[in-house]
Amino acid sequence: MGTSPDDRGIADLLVMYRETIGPLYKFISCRAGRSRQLAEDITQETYLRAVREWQRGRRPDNPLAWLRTVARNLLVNHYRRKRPESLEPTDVPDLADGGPVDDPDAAALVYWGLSRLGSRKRALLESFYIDGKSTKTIASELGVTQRAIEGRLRRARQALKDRLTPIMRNHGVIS
Amino acid sequence: MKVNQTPDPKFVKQLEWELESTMRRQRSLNGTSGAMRLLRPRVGTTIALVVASMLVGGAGTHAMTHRVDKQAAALYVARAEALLEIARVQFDHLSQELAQMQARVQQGLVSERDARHMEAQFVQVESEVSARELELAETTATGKEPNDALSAPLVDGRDFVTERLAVRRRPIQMRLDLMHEELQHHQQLADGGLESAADLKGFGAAVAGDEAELENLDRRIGLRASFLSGELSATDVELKDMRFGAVADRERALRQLDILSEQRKRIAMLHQRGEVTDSELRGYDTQMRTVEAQVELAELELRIIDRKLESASDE
Repeated sequence: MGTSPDDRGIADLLVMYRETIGPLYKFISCRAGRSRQLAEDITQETYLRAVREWQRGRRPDNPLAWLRTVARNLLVNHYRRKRPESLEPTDVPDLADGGPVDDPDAAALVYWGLSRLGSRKRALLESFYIDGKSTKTIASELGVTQRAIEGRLRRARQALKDRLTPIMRNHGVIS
Repeated sequence: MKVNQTPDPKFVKQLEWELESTMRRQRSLNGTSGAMRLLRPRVGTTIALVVASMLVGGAGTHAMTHRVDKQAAALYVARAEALLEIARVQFDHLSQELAQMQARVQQGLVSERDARHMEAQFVQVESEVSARELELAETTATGKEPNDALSAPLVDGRDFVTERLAVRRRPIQMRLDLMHEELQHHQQLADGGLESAADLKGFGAAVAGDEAELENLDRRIGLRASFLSGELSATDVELKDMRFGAVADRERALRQLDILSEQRKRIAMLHQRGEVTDSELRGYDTQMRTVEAQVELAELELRIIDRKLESASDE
């Protein structure tokens, strides 16, 4: 007895889920700070949206990329609603260092600031600080020169710094 | 310190189950109502089902009054099935509406914001379907109407009360998320002088109302857990539930009163300038007195419940 198209649809979804849950959760938890609850909530909501798309017959060619986009939007919405005083203040590593932000509280604080920037600046800083991509990699992905990326990064970094400095100052993290 | 970036296996398993059951539920819905049906017969079906469910409901009540037997149980099940079918018809209709709207969003004909409002409605109806499914499962198991009391016993080891409360929570949370975003928008309009402070306050009160609803739901879930763990007796849990309800009623009425007072001031000014009639002004006064009476009633209820709670703890 063969399986029905509906059963195949469910099986395909579950295969997609099992293949993507690990990397997607990692992607989200990097941005969710210390909160496992937040990471799980965002993960759950992302997959529920995927199910809805699946049911409408819209299956993305690259499910993980699609899921990441949805998760990123959900995170941005979450941090936009968050009041700055509810964040755990922490010493954000010097943004000029250029490495990924390892400390979970710092990641949450940086992501809070990112959610308040325009989408281009946010995507650039996210690739650089959260995903740890080099300027060379980003330049090649966007099809521009490395120097152009460095210039954009400098401006985006300044915009992020403008957002974060008052909070860190209020909490006495910096003078 | 790095945070653990690996998901909890229990969470992974639970989410997998949730996704699979959501897909299966949708499949059964498609099978029942058919995606290609036209709206007109669907509306006709809805009306027929509403009438049928009312008749079955009336007959069910009659049977319950005279004898509780298998016949009554069958009627309750039929009623639960009819209510579920109504919810499914609405769900099916809204699914198509949402799909069409998303297509219009992609064409730039409709804003993302409107689409999100429709998505919130969709989640509301989706939650209604889940709640009705739970009611049908409970009615089938007990032969009685679903019991939503916080002191209701488990049914075959299953806690339908908490399951239904949890199902009701998601659409409220989603609506609240949307309202928070809208509030920011209204704030910007008010900052730019494009919206009055009174209108902004009115919207803020609506947000506060939804926040209170969500808080109340969480409290009820907590009370139910305390009852099931034996921490609270059936009497205590029901009295506390009533108390939360009365507090929520009072807060809601107070918020309404606050808004009405503001509006009353504006109306009085307009009245002085002759732009509002005496009867319109009296209409506001009547509304205010009604809401004031609601506040008093909620406070009276609270005093009664508190006395009962005191005597329950004395016993």
